[in-house]
Amino acid sequence: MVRLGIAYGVPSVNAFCTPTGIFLTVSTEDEVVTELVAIDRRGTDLGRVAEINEVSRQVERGALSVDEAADLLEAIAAAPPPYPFWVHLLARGTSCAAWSLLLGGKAADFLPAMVAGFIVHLVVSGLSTRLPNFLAIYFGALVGALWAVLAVNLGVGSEVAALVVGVIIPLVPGMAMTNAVRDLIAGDLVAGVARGAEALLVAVAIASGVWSVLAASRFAVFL
Amino acid sequence: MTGWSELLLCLLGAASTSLLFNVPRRTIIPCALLGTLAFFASLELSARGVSMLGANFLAALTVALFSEVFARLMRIPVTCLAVPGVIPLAPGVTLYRAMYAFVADRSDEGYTLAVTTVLIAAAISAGLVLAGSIFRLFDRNRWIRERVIAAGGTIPPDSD
Repeated sequence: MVRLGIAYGVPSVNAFCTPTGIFLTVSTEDEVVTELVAIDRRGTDLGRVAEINEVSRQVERGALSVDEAADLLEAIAAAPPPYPFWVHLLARGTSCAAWSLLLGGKAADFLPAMVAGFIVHLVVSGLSTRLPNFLAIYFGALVGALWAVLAVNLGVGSEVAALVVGVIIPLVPGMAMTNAVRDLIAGDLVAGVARGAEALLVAVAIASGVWSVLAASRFAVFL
Repeated sequence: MTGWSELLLCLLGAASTSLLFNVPRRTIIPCALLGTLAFFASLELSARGVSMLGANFLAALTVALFSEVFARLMRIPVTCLAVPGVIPLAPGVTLYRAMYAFVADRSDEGYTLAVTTVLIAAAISAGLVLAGSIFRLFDRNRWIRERVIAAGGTIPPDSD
């Protein structure tokens, strides 16, 4: 944003980005304009990062007017997701299956882990528009763990632990944690702490979801 | 499991994870390769007696260096390659196990795992930051700049 401002000849631009809000102040000799955008839905969309980056590069080369650039950015914001829902669903399933095998599962766990991925993806994407993120993830992990226990009892999976890994892989905030530390190293202290807190909360949600099922199943065995 | 099936699984896992991040279509295969590189680099380094943090740092550094090169050749932001590339290293499962230990009343284990998580995340980000800084030094060099552009690549503006 700062580079865009400089490319368009604005004398002073200040941008401050956090995971919950973006602040931008543009000042010229006779006026100061500040804009604040609050963010309530977060996600990672690297495709958009690439597209916006391309626009910013063209602006720097002087190839775009302000209006043209604004139109392009609007178009990026309004664009539908690059991959349809079923591609994401399939990707979730294969990533669950692959990682669950790599992290200690046996060949027999491939299909059950894939199904676990489908279930978790459906639950989380279905609930996340209606419930707070924390609860959506809690229920995703809960239903996923339920499936893991069920699959092993039905004899389609070899081990609950391996399947549970498959269930949680798509949910765990490993990258969020890494980005948090990266922000902290870069000096974005607010963004780093916010991301870290969010990652921690998501991890608590997943652990509680899985624990609810495993504790209940242990209790059921004693009955 | 043989090495080949692990390789295949890793490619599959890394490719599908990068899809979930909505990476542009043409970067899916590079992302899968980088993710696989990260996974096997950290395994191999650990097997050769490098400490866990060292292995994560070196694997992330390797992947990030490759990402910087690919990003210049493919004209895309480094983030689109480096983030999916280090995903297999990211300590998500460790963080989950830490929180699980707390929930299940084993807080001693929880503290150890939580600290481990933060340290691994720090090691990975240190690798990413270092690779970025190294390349930014080279970007200022005119000789390199001219050759990258002549080869059809781009110099990313100070990306982060």
